[in-house]
This record gives sequence, C-alpha cells and structure tokens, in this order.
Amino acid sequence: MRVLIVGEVPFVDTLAGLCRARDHKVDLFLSDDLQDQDVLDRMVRAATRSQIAIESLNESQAAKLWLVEGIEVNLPPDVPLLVSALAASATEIASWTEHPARVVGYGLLPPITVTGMVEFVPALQTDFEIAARARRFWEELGFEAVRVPDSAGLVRPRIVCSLINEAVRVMTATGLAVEELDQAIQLGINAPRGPLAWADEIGLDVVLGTLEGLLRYWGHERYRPAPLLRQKVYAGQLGKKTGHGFYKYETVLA
Amino acid sequence: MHIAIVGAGTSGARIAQAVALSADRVTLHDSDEARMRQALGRVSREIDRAAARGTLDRARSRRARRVFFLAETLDECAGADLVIEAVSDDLELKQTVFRALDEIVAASAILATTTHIHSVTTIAAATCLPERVVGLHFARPAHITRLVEVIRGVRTSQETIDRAQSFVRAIGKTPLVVDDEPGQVVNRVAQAYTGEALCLLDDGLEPATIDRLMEAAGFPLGPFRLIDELGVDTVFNLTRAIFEATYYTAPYRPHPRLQRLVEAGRVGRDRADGFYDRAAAAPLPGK
Repeated sequence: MRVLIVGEVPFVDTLAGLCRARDHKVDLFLSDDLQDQDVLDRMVRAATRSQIAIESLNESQAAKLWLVEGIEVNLPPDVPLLVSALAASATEIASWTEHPARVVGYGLLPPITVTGMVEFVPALQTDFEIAARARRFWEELGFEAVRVPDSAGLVRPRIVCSLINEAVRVMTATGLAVEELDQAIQLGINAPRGPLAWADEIGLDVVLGTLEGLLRYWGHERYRPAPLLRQKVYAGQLGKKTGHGFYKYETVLA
Repeated sequence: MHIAIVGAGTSGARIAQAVALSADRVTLHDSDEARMRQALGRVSREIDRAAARGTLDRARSRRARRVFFLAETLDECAGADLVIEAVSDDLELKQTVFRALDEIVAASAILATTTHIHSVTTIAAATCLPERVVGLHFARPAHITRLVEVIRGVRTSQETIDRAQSFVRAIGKTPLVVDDEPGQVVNRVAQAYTGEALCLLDDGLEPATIDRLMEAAGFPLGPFRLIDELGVDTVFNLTRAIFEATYYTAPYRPHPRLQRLVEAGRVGRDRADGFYDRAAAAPLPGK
C-alpha cells in the first residue's frame, strides 16, 4: 500500500519505520519542511496517489488545521485519513475536511513499540467501512487497536500530559532540580520514566498542544498548561528533537 | 541508633521492617498490644523470608530480629534518638501523641510524623520544640519503595533536616527534602495520574481498559489497580486533603466515585473489593 505520513518527529519516523517493515511504500514529510514550496508540492503530488494517509501534528490547533486541510483536499475521496487526536478530537478534525466520513482518529504516545497498543477512535462522522479499514491497517502494523471514546487527548496522552503538567508545576513551586524531580516520581509512584524526561521524548510542544486541546475541549482549569511549559516552547526548547528541553542532548532528531 | 516507632498499623509495621537492618534498637509502641505483636510477627516473618531467599545473610537476620522491643507505654520511647509517629491519620490524635512525646523524649531527639494528609507545621505546633519536628513521608509501600520525602515544617531547623536525611540514607533509601505544602511532590503528581484516570470514567470508559492502556505504556500498575492497592479510602482521604489544603483549587477536586466506593465499603487493598471485584478478579462496570 502507498502510505502518506506527514507530521512531527518522533511520531512520523516511528510510523514510517513500522510501515516500511510491512512493505508499504512510504511518502514521509516533516511538517516543518512544508514551509518550503518544493517540499509542499511534492507532498501534494504524493497525496494524490496515496492509498492511506496518516497525520501527526499536535503542537497547536492552528498548525493542525492548516496541515489537515492541506493533506485532505489532495487525497482521493475514498482514501482514509488517520488523524492524531491529541490536540483536538477526531470529530473536530473531521469537521475541517471536505470528506469527514473518511477521517478516523488515533492516539499514540512515544516511546511507540510495535507490540503496543494504538488508541482507535472513529469520529461521529466516520463511515463504518472506513473505520474498519483503518482498524485493519493498525492491526496489520502489529498494534492492538483499543477503541476509546472520541475526545481531545484520548486516554494515554491525556493522563501522561496531565502528569507531566503537574510535575512541571511542582518543580516550579519547589525549586527542585529536573533530575531530582524525575527521580522522586520514578521512585515514588513507579512511573516507567521521569515525567520531565518523558516530556522531552514526546516533545514539549506536543505536550503543550495536547493540554491546550484538553483545555479547549473540557473548559476545565485542571488542563491549564504550567507557565514554564509554555516558556520552554517559546524558547524553542522542545525536548530531544531540538537537543534541549528539560534536559540537554548530544544528538538532535529534527 | 535507637529508633522508636509509635503506631503499629500497616504503615508502622512496614517502616519497622525498613529500619530493622540499620538500627541498634527499635522500640515499637502501640496502645493496642495485640496489634503490636501482630506487627512484630509480620516483620519477623519478612526477615526470615529474606534470609531464606538469600537476600539477607543469617547473622544480619538474627541481629535484625533482636533489635525489636515492644513498649507497652509511650514512656519507653524516652531514650530514642528518633521517634517516628505512624498512628492513624487523625490530626487530634497526632497532636496528642506529639504533645506527650515532647515531654517524654530528650530535647536532642528528633520527632518525625509520617502524615500524608496533615501539615507538619500544624502537628509541630502542638510541641514546645517545633524545631525538632520533621515529616518523613515514606512512599508506599514503605518497606519496598526507596523514596522518602523529608518535609520541612515552617519552624523545622536545618540541623533536624540534616539528621533526618542522614537517617534516610542510613536505611538505604533516597531522601528528598521538600517544604510543607499540600501533597508535597509525590502525592501531587500521583493524584494527577489517578485523578485524570477517574475523570476518564465520566467518558464511559471501563477501569480495566484504562489500566490496560497505562500498563502498556509502562506503568507497573494501571491507575485503578494502583488505587485498589493503596486503598480506595486512603486515596480518597488524600485527594480530599489536598483539595482542602489548597483552598478548594479546582484541579484537585476529588472524584465522587471514590467516595461512593468508600461508602459502600469497597476500599480495596487486601481487605475488600475496590474498583475490581477480588473474587472474580474482574473490574466493576465503569458506569
């Protein structure tokens, strides 16, 4: 199958790798590179001949809207569009498109493993047949597709980003060092990794985008992003992918 | 070092077990003698088990079992260098215990409270020497987890903090010094984990689905299995305490489901069903 994958690291790299391992032909585009007209033209050409498209951009609702619209108008009408429902619900994302019936939401959170689970979420507008095709696609990649209700942030991104948000608030309030806080949470609640190291891995812009999506969706103060998180994003300290987030890294992904 | 532990419930027994290998003498006191003996039996069994597994050598295990003394009265804690209070988390009871300890125990000794829900500063206010009162917040379960939050009350002296930190290191755990704020570090972040999972129930999700997803994300226990393990009542009291102590800040509002389960006696842990039905090992429906 010809798969179009557009979005941000580390999500798209991992997905592209998994698709290639299943012998799909992958057209991969980083959302950052689409500012370049040549790259954008190539993405548009790739979209017209793709058989399934995956979007993963959650740094903000505005960026996501721009990207989803740009991909969708160029896809043949019966091609499923799998959208990452972190910064907005699948239903809202579908509402931005010409053919909302072919939009299906999903949720993945780094580190993404093949033996893992993908949260699978049809929008209110999604066609039944398209949803079934999307589910088969995920299962053939090796994921267990777990059906969850449609909402911004779904399950894992919502819980993990809330945990990260609280950890950032606590760090700001206590003046603890990044390493101290991460170690305390790992030892204290048996978290698989420190919340701040995890934020670096996901991308601070994605964590912020998810929290803002949750805040917009629920209108509840519990999702108000910690100010420090926003400050880090302003400063371009987005985590592993820029070599600097809460920690510093030798190698840069993007 | 002579350590006294006041209160021999689950938490006191686990702390006793955690300090057994590093103390010269551990005085265990509880107003209920049966509970005290039960706690000692439990600790001895754990020590024997560790020796049988080979994780603890024979000489050390024999020594560990000899360090314990059961005290029928609080007065027998007088010679302790450090008194750890682990009575049930009731403010009036804790203040009464501290008022008594303040008179009995030498001024050079440290008095520590293990409260998860009250402020160290409030408890210290019941004593004449609040400088020597500190919080020792053992992450649960205390005999396994390595982290101990050392809580600095408003009037706790630096010397007390330093000595409390040395004690935590001496028992092989990692200290983290934090100020006396609602929930400190671990409980605040933990309530974000369990609290957000509870909110997801309002979307119609089943506890078991949420647990499976979180366990697949690397957590050894999904949020609902964790709540059952810690005790639904414990988690409810803790979230309620954080909510009250933050003057009812909306993000910390406890979920009504916890209260319903507590009212129904479904408190989890080894005692009863919680979110999961223990007999059937199946989760309760989400709605």
